[in-house]
Amino acid sequence: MSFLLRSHLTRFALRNVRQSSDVSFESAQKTMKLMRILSLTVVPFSIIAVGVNAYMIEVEHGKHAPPEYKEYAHIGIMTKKYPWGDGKHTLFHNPRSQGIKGKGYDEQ
Amino acid sequence: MMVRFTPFHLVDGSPWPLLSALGAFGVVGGLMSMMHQHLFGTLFMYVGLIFLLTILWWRDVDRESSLLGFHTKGVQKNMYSGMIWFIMSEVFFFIGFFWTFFHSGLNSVIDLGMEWPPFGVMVLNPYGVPLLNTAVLISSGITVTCSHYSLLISDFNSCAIWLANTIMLGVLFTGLQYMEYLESSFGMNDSVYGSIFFMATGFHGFHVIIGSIFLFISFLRILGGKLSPSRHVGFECAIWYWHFVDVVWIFLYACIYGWGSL
Repeated sequence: MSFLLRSHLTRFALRNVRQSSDVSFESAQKTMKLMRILSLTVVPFSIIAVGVNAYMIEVEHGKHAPPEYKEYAHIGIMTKKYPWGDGKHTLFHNPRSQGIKGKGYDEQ
Repeated sequence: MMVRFTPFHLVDGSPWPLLSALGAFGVVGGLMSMMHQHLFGTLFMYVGLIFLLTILWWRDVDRESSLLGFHTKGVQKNMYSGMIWFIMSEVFFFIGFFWTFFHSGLNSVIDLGMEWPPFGVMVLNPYGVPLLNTAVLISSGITVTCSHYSLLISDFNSCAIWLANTIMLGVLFTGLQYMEYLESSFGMNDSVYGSIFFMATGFHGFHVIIGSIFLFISFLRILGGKLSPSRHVGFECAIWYWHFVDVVWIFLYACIYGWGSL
């Protein structure tokens, strides 16, 4: 009886269990060589190039002041106060370019 | 000596599941206390408890697998499937946010000025920091593949080094997103655009943090000699989760930052 149970379980295990190494050692080495080249050339180059570009865009963006504050019904919605501070500032409030309804920008 | 005739892991009794359930209940209560009574103590206490319990529970799983030998091939196969099901559930979680975004973005309403992005919302330049974030995450996908294949060819030093690089790129992404959040000219309460932007990118950032922690735990396990070229279930699951986080970002970038800024 336990022999039948064990043979069923063995058959289940053999049919449904993933084998440990799907990749052979040689193919893993080849892939590793390609990945190493990509990681040492493409990765740092792309991050530096895109990073420099992003930095220049941020510097350019910081040069001009935010537009004059205008109150719109759909901007700065305040139907319930926040649990922190005075209840009117979002968690990542930007005092320079996010205005408070009825007040305008915190920083001019 | 204990002999088991089943390929399954019949776990020993443990207090962690019950305590985690009570902790999760406390977190929900703490959230309600924070939102309605403006009190933060309960929330911080129960979030801290959940954090400790995750460490204790998964420490036991690590011990059961690496030290006690309970993880047979059958158990490993079930763990892989479990991770795939979990990632699928997370995919549908994000599909909800993308649905919301396109529901609002494709149906112009008079309240938002009959346009998208809404009138008065100054969207972020997608070629600035968001593009850098994309480069960082795709690069981290390449370095984590490097790490995995190093393990497969038994180069443990390279595995650890490339994994450390991946984690640093993940931390860089989180730092850049944090700075973007501080600098952005719109907040979460600036129309449905701001709301869905911060919900989607915020939850994505949270998933990046979780993925980085998962990779970091794998890093510690490699240093501790608990992973081998033929046995590294947790590491592979962490890598799958990281690739999922990367793919979600690609969609976020294309839909919200890219199309959403046109």
